[in-house]
Amino acid sequence: MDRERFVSINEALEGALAQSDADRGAWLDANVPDAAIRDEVKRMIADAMALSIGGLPETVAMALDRELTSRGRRELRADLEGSLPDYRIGEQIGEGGMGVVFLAEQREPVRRTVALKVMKPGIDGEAVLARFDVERRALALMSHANVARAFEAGSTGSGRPYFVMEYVPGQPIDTFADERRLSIRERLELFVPVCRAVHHAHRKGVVHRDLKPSNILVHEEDGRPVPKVIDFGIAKSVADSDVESRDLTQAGQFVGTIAYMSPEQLGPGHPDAATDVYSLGVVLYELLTGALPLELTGEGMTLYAAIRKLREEEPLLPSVRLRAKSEANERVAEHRSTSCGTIARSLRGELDWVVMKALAKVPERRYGAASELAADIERFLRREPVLARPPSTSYILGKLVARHRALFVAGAALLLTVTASAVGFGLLYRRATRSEAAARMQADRSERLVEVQREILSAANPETASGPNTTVEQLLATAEPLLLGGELDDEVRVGLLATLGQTYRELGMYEKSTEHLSLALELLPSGPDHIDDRIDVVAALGTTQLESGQMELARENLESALSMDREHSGPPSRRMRLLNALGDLHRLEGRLDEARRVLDEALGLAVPPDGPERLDVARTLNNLGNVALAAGDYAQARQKYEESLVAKRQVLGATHFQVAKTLNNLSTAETKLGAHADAISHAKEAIAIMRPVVGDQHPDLGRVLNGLAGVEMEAGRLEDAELHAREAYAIAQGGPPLDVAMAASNLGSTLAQLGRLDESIPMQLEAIAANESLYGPSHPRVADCRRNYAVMLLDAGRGAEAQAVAERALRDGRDALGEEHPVVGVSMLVLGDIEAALGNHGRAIELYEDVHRIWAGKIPDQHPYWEALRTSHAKVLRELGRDGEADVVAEGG
Amino acid sequence: METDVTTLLGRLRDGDRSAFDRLVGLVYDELIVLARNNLRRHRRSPTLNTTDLVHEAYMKMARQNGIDASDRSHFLAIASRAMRQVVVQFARARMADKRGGNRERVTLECQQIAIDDHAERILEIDDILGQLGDYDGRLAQVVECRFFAGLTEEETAAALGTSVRTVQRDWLRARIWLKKLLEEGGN
Repeated sequence: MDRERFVSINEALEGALAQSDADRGAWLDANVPDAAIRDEVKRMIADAMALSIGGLPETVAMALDRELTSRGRRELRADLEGSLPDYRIGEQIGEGGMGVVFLAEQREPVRRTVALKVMKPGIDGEAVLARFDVERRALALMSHANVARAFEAGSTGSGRPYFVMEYVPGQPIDTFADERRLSIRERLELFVPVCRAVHHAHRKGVVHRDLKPSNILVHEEDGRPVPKVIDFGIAKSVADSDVESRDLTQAGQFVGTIAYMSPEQLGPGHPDAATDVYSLGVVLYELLTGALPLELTGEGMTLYAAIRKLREEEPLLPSVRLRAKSEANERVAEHRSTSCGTIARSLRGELDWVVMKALAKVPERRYGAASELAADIERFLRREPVLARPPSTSYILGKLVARHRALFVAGAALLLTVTASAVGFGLLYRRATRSEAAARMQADRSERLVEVQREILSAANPETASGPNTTVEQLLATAEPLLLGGELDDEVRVGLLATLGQTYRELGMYEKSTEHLSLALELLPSGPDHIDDRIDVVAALGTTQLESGQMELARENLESALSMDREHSGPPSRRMRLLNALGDLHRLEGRLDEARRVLDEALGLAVPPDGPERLDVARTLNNLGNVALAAGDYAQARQKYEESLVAKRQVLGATHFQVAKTLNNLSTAETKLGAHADAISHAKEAIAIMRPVVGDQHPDLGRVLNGLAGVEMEAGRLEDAELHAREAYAIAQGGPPLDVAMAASNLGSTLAQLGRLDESIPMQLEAIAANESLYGPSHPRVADCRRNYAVMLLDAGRGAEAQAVAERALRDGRDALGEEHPVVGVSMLVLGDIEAALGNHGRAIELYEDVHRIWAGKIPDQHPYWEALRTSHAKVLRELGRDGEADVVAEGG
Repeated sequence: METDVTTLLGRLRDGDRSAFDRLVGLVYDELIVLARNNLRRHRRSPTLNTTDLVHEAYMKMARQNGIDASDRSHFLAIASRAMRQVVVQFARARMADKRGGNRERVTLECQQIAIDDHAERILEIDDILGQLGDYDGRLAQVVECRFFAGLTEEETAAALGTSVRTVQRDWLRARIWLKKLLEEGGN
């Protein structure tokens, strides 16, 4: 199944499964326009349901699942029945990170239905119960219609703590609100009593510490929804005894709920009532937007990364979150019986501030009590001014500076690049000069932005920076609410979105980049006045698409920007940039002549070459190096890169990200030329520049690591190579398929050279598949992979298969690159070795002789390829008894 | 070469993804030894109790390397990936022995995977997971934890750093995909 089809079905499936059984059909009809996909999903779900219920033959996984859960449950139930003779244990009604909840019938001393919560094994029962004893008195004092009561606690025969609580036959508040399609107002009205209940508990001295939707159940009494907070006293008892030292590493037990935990709960602070206010803020955010304030799932998100994010990153304003058009948001709007735009408008401003005040990272900046949060929400509902205010710019900047002092140097460098590329801020300057009438206002805007930027930059005093310990990515995420928040109008916003979009691209966060740039394009007014802005934004979008491998979209946008630019002539540097991007695209798609033509045109625009367009010249030289590299002219590539490097270092300084990129390219060319020591040292220099700026997950870092692994492999430093290849492979996961393809291929080859063929062969197959999906089955890259695969097969003793694979690689290589390309020679060498191993000596010798001819003058004498060729060639000659010829060949004759 | 488990776990905590793969390798080595011993003891009907193996490996490595209890969730995610490789390795070996396995429907008891009878099916599942993982990494991870390592929902949630509810949803979705793709493959 191809990716596109998978994704369509998978999205529909995910959406459909989130619906109740009754709503599912209608949901699919409404949300999935493609009837074939819709029917497929319906069939898949129907099949699955029939299987799990009907006792028909089951699939592997389903049988496993059923057995797994039922066995444990039987044991637990027996344990409970033995320990709690006064209760009849009913069905299981819930399961969470800490334990399982059963419905139970109490028979003595009163007859009532209760919820029985049993902790998981592994939690220290005695300590939990001791804590609970301390809480018990306070709990007994609590009496609030919106607080579920706790009746008793104890431990079972096998030592598991249990709690008996009031049974609330309701649904979690978020599910309830979505299923009833409650409007924003109804949601707020439902949420107010929750705050009041929490406040009531606080006044009795009880902090909840684990507020989340599943602990706030809503049921209907007399047709009116009544929320009840459950688990008061329990979460705290469990948490305190389990997290004795409040060591956050102990939080593993609660990983499912850290999304609702306050920063101080995740760190060294003291959790108190303010902690519950924060958690209420998270629940409120989720009720309003349908999303958590900070996205904590996704590829590569470890518990620790999540905790760091929760402690350091500011969430998007709820209204900003909802403004981004997406299918998920449409669904969110539907659940609130309205549209995205309407919600965004109703949230924007005051309600945004209310939520953000509850979510402040520092407890002192939150509402002082849950009741104050309730009161502010009620003010909003009565259309009175709320107490919460938007944080002032100077406050946010101060905070940014305090927290990110160390990274401002790096951040400044990136922001300056963006400014130099003129899309964001340049756009605003330009507008300032457009018409006399509007000039003053626009100038004000531009000035304010420049001021904000200057403030950020001036904080980046290298003398006070104490070494990089956080990344620009975090800076941006923190700056985003400030930049997108309430105080700016749409024109300014377009400029900022464009700036952020570009910076995100530099950070390799392509989805965010696309999101910001698309939004900028959407907000951009049409008409001739904005043509320059449009060219810039379309070009920026095309570049992001190019870097993320969406070639068709990239070409469309870049060519459209270029033709607009040719019509409305702009500064030479803009056209140079566009030509450069387009040249890159041609190169990546194998049209090298076209690429060279486009890049030469760009170079011709800079007169003189060391004039104001000097940086663009440097980039163009770098790209010409790339083309030479792709064409196999490695000496030429090295020269272009060296020229580019000189220029870049002069303009940008020695430690700029762009310098690192060219260093990496230079390293690649040096690798091809066999200059391993230079290649390794340049790659390491590039890595040393990149890591502190972009963090450890950046795709470009992965690419450099990959190159480094490649040259280390060739230099025989296999253990280093494996280490670096693995890191590259790990970074590539979830990134563009191109990175996966390259990393898998390198790791495969490294493992093969380490003699670990059982690991290398599947890795190499992955590489081939990834490359095929990118380039089609006959592309030179695929041929490279096949060639390496053939070597592995040969080493694994599978000579006949190896022969077929190598022949295919050679054929495809010749078709694509021509008979005389040095890479074709490599394939011939490999095939020669295979033929020799299969006993076809004559054929092997023919191949080797052709390789000599092809490489002569193209591969430098000291390159290890020659050594490999001579060894193979001489070996075959000796096997035929032609020792004299062998000696000549071995000597390099 | 760095092979120290605690150091690697430290690097993983610091967000170094390469440490994950290296740890998978180390845990794999441990698991495969335990699994071989286990199979030797049950020569008659070779089955792997993957859950027990994962926990046994954890106990052993925790003892030897002084792994912090807080790293248990990390360990579970690592061990699930490694367990998948172990199971697939055994299935491959079995297929090589047999040259043609039996394609009957697989039913399993408890968390034991009867490799002997289901080698081909297991390889199919591994194959499909490769594809699923490319398209939706989370789905493959959930299957590794739930199916290959036999973790509970709570353990899986801890291992993947997500909620039990998400695990339940993803697991259901993964099973639906597995069923569909297995059946398509079988036709």
